[in-house]
Amino acid sequence: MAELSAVGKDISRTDALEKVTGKAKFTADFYVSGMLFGAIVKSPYPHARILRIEAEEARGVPGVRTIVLPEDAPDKRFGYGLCDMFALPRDGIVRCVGQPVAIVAADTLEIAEEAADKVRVHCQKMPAMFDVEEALSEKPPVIVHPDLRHYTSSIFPFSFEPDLPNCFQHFRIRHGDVKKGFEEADIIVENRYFTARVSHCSLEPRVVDAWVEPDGTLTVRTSSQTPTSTQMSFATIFGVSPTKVRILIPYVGGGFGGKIGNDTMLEPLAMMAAMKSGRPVRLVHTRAQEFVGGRHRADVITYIKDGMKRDGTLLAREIRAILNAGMKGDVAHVVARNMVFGSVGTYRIPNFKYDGYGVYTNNPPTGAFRGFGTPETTWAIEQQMDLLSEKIGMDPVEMRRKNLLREGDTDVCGQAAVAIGVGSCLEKVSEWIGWGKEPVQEGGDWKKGKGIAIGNKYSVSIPASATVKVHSDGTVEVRHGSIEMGQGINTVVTQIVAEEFGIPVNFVKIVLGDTAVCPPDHGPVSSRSTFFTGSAVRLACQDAKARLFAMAGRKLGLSADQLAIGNGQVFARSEPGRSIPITDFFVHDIPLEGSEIIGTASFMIPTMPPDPLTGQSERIVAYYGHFAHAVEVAVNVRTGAVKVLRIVGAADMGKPINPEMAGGQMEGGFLMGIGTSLYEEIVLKDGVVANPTFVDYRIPTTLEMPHNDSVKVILNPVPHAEGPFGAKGLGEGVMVPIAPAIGNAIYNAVGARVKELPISAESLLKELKKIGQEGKD
Amino acid sequence: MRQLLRLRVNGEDHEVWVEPWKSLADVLREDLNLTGVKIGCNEGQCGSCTVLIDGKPVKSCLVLAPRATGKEILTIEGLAKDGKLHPLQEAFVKHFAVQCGFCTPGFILAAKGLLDENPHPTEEEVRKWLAGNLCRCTGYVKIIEAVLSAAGSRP
Repeated sequence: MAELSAVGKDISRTDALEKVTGKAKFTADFYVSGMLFGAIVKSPYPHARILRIEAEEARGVPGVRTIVLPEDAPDKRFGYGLCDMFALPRDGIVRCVGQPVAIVAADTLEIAEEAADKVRVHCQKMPAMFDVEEALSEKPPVIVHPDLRHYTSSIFPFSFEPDLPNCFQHFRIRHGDVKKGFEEADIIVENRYFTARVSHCSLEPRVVDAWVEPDGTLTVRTSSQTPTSTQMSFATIFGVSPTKVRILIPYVGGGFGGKIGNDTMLEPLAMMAAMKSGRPVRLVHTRAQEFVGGRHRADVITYIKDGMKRDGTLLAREIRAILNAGMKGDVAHVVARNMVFGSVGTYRIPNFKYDGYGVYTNNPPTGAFRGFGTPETTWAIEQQMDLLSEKIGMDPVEMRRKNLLREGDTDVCGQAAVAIGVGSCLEKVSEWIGWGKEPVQEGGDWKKGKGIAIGNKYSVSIPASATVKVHSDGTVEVRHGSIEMGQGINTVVTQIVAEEFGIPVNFVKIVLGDTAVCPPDHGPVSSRSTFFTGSAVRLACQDAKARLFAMAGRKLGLSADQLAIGNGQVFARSEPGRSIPITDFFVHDIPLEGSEIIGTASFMIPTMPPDPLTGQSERIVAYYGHFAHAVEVAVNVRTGAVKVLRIVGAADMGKPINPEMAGGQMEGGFLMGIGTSLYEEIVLKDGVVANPTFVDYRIPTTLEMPHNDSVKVILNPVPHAEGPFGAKGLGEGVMVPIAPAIGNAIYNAVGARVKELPISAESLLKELKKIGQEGKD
Repeated sequence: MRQLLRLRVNGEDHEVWVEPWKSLADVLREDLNLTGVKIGCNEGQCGSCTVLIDGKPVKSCLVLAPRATGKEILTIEGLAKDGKLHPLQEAFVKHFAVQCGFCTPGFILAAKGLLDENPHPTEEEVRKWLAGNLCRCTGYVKIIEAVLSAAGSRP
């Protein structure tokens, strides 16, 4: 294959200059003339019936222009996934503290907030329920959504249990015969694991500007990850054609899954206020509102039972996972299903039984968070692998190697493993961390240890499309439907186009973030941007090139396969001197042969819906990326503090389009993994978020990351035939195995294992005490 | 209720009428259109709003705008001179220290505050100085590399 000129190179990010000069605009940086500011009236109770709302005093505050009440909301339940919510509680029930009840729009934010405080919502309190296992029972104390049976789903049919009134999702996998597997096993290890609720903490808080254009188009500028689904959701909620909805998305300051769809409701709320007032309305989340209403990663309880032969072969695995979704299903309904794939993509297991449950409680809502359930599942599995290997005195790396899926093996879902690079990832991290060599202990209260873990991250199959247009000066304009939230899609697309046309990267122009001009795309979710949007772009380039080759072919008397393109010329492959400059196909940017030189394409991987009883499907995910991590930690036996000293991650993400950018994502993923393992937890007290600030919810600072020379990123590509230039993706997978690697390292250091995330000093000291290892005065 | 406020920002003098309770961050963004000053938390915890006041990094969301009168204020928009990037800006581009970009102006200005005081910091000194700026995308590795590179400590 010919040497690539742009793909695979460390091209500077195309948006770096704008961002370092402060010119890059995010949603809040735009000013809309005549804009009002909105404040949300929220429920103070976790579960209550609204008796009446008194808004007169609020209406009397000078500068208040409109108040939107539940009766103004469309009579339509919607959601990304499970459609279980009204925009405002038309059913008269509030189901969590902080649920929006009304919106006040006023001339300034101060006036709106003052007036919102004066809106009196009279409620009759109802019993509330926060514990997920209590909620999952057959006779729970509270039924959060009594009308669950009548809800619909916008993504796939949802499956609930008739006997479990708060369960809105039950996903099953049945593979082989676990009962028989356990009977044949020599060793059985059974445990309960837990991962806490965490918050994305994107530095840019959510913000929406909404207005109605003179022609009636509902227009929204928003910090969101998903242009098309937001557009379609609006069409559903407000009962209009998608052509009467326009979603604008400029640069987004971090998403990590938290800005998917209408999940925070801000877009529909702002739009309702805009429609009622006749003015543009801005709704902004404060940081505290981000911590409360910003959609969390749900806490998950994982019960896991493993059976193994004495030689280290896994025979059977049984998992029961319970996801505490909070008061709405929405995206959580998809997470509760997809969290299973963490237990599917890596190991060869002849007998496997999985039951995953999504459950309602009266807690604030949850949704998509980087990893979409896979880190939660992997936390359990990768500690189990270490526990199992310890039982037979086998090296944990050897134990994993022995049980990996190989190319062509069928996984427990019935899909064949392809492009599975986890084995080489495991080798590389073992080597870097010095696996097998004891860390140099420094004595005193600090004990060092090493740990390893592996994992995978699937990408779901959702189509993407792209359009390219060749201009008379040889520049190529690309319109794609994704958005730029830091993951680097624009740079990747630029490189792909530059490669396809043989042009310098500054000859590529990108248009994105406007549903009125860009083709449909689900946006950067599920680590899909490079694989799907990148593929669509590549195919669109080839479509445009075919048109150029046809035109050039007629002039040169050659067929398309005899032609190539580069440096602004279409030329004969065998005789590069025989060429036509692209400018020759135009007069004043108007193509000589008539219509514009446009290429358009979409990219789709057909999948098959899983069997509802067994979860089996020949193709259920588009691809799996594979990841391995190793860490060296120091544990203080007196205080329970844990320091990550060294960290290495290896990613099989297919061919990296831009290795430096990929490395940067990995480093960021390392730290988000460290943060969610050791420091981060949304603390809920009776449904109230007790720590809604950066002081009380601590995301890692520069001081929590190991020194630069102790952080290692290894790109270990196994090209995937269906990805653009062999690329897959890695946005989420980079943090999947970090928590268990840390948990395993702590065990290696001090012989104590915490099974609940985050691994706090208190929980670790408790475990140390149990084994008599804590430091004594 | 509004009062006249004189501010000197990026080498230029401005007169604006503002409510006295407005923060410097809000005035810079809304009245002077300097939207490179970002608001990430509005409570002085994330550092996205960092500007330099008389050369020192300050979280502008915690400064009452009237208190900033009579001082030299520098925002990210004032850093490049005549189209030429500051070495820190160049280093952030070269070292891939930017992802979503929201924290970037705050980091660059905070780092400038360090380098103006201590032109050749160690990695440890850079880490400690920047601990008041939060980033969720990068893991800080390339940010620190960029700052050390701008200081001439690394290529």
